[in-house]
Amino acid sequence: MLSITDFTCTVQDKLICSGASLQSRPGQVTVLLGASGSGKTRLLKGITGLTNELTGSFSWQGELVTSPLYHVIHMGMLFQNNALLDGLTVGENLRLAAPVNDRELADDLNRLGLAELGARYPGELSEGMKRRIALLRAGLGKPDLICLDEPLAGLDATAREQVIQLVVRWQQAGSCIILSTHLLTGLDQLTACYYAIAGGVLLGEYADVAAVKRAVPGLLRESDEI
Amino acid sequence: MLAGGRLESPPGGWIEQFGQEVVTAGCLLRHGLSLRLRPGELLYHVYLFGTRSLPLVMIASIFAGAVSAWQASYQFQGHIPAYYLGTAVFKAVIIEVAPVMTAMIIAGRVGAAISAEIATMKFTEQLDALTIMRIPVVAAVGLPRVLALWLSMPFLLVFADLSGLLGGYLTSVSFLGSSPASFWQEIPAHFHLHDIGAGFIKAQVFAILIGIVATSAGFSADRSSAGVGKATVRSFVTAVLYILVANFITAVLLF
Repeated sequence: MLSITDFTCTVQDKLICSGASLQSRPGQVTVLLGASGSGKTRLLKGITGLTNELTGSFSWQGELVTSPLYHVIHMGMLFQNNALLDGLTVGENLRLAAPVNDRELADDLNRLGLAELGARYPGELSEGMKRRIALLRAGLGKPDLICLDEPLAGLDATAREQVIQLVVRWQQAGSCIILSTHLLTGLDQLTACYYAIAGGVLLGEYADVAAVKRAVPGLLRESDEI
Repeated sequence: MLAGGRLESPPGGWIEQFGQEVVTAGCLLRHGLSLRLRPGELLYHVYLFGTRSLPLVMIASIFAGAVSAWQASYQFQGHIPAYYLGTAVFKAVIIEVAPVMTAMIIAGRVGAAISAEIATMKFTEQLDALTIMRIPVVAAVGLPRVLALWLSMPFLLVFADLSGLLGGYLTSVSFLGSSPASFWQEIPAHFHLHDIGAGFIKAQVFAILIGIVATSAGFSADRSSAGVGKATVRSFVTAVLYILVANFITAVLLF
């Protein structure tokens, strides 16, 4: 379990948020819910250790963590720009994350409706295809923690459903998952806890979307509920 | 400057930039020794940097050799017999013109491209993705490029030497009144293997400098399209400066 307590977010010497805490438990998806520009990506990158804007007391499985989190645990991350390496094929991109064999790779791609794409380069694919491949890469090799930045953005209904099913699978496999989104579609299929975020400030932990709506109605009016 | 194995942008200034380049070189060396390079990727970059640069290097060298012959002929007038023209062109091309000219072209054509590519990878979070996967970013992205540049350089230099000599020869014979035989006449008597070796040593030093400067500029670029542009400019300007300084230092050490 990942636990961050008393964390402080400082951007360009300006204090954005302080004293908040966040937990990510195995088998449960931690959903960061907020409108576009609310600071979800900043928070995710701070949690991973990619930026040093977030400080606080990090602990993993009860042990205090002092290095960037990606140094300490096996992580996977879906980035907002997908971040697939242009010079590598889809298969090579995926094998960077974990040493999977051809059969496993084909099965994984097939599950997301992306069969036969292993030898293609990211530049030859649509944004939706790239999104799903980047998502697949984030979860390959059973990472301890999977961070997903807007995994549903830019996808059609079928692809969103495939993505949700993949996240459910990872969740059932016992990975800790932190998912940021401004979309509510399919979230009801996840075993999740919710954190509302606005203006870079983490507003609190909620049991379900309805609780978020009750507590922070303005937040969800700005969000896309389709 | 080096946070969690990742390079952060220096606040600015030459000293910080130089420090960034030293750190990049250190990362390349430290992780490079243990990194498993993919031969296919290395060959691809050798093709991209070496083979694809060849026409430009050859054309530039022909004209550089031609100018060397013209200027030598002008300097010789009334003082030195014309049959030494071939020797002067040979020495100038082999020792100075070809290595420096090739390095300048590679700094512009390849160095700037490396910087732009790495800066774009940073801008589009590809380097962050590698970092999350605990892949040593500087070595994994920079090393194949620097190594390919280093491997391409001798190959390019051979063609630059031959093209420079051809340019000098054609100019001497066509415009400066030399006969084909007199152009080559004195070269064997003044031929030193050391001269050719020095040219190659220089070129290899330049290749390493271009590679380190280019990768460093890319890794420390700002995460914006303007940052990509600035990285390419920084890469070329710094590399050219370093080439000229290194040219002087190697001349002092080798001759």
